[in-house]
Amino acid sequence: MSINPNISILIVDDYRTMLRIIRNLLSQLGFNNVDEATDGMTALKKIGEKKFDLIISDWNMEPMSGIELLQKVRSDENNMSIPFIMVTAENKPENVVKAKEAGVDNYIVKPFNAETLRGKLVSVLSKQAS
Amino acid sequence: MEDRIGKLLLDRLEEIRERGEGDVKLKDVGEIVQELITAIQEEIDGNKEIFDFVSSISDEIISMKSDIMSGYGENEDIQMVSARLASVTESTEKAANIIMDSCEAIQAMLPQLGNEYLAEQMMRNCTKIFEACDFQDLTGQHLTRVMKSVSTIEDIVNKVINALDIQIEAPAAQVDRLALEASAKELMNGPSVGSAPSQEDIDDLFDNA
Repeated sequence: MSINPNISILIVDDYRTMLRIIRNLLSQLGFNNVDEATDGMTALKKIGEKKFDLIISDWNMEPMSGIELLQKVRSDENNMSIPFIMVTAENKPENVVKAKEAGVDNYIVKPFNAETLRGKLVSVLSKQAS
Repeated sequence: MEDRIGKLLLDRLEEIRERGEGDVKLKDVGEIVQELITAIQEEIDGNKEIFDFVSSISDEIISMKSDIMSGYGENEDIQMVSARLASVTESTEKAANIIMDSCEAIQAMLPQLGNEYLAEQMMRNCTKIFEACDFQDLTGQHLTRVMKSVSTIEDIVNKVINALDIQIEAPAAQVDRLALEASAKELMNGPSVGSAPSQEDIDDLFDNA
């Protein structure tokens, strides 16, 4: 399946190193229309200002966590259908369940590699397209 | 304690009243006082045993704390240990950035290489380097957890010391809560270690949730 490389992606992580890693991996996968935010609150503001086709977010952030961001996005009728991937070190089963119940589209555990990221992107975006 | 001693006293008085001998004799008063002293002594002995036990635990913890701190010099307390750990996090971030800068510079030069196969191989290896740079994120989370644990342990030790009013030569080091909280906020929950679920486990769980 071919994915439009021009889709707009928002990556959210409080560690700039991770933002940079994800941005670079996305770039190698052909995605260059990428915005960044270092917490859920900033991300929410960006989502209000621009239409994103995909959100990739960490879980643990202050002042607004990734799960709170997800809940906010899903409760906003203008943005509720944006695909949302959680990328986090939070691999406790209860967290995965909580994220899924909140409406996350996929869940990547850190540490991850480019292949995992690519696979999840294809999976999420192809579901969105169908 | 008061309840037990009080009951003992009332029982003895009731016993004397039931005997119906009228005035309480000096002999009875002596016996009652003796019984009360024995009962009080038993209570004190019981508490002392607990006190001694908790004190010994405190001494052990204080001793362990001294051992831990001995590697950091006389004037350095746990706050300094936290600062050192924070410095490690900062250093690894700096190192990760230098590595990624270099990788990006290499990636930018690849189109000029004139060898597609070689460029592809180099790009693949640059990707691996990028992926490996997440060590900074993960080690940072582990260190933050260690800092929080150290803070918690010290908090408990100080509470025990204060509760028992134990006098020690050097006052327990006070952790700079604000500094610790600030660093803890950077990453509240660290990655799991040991037999943590893999991505495959998470995928299975996710698909079946």
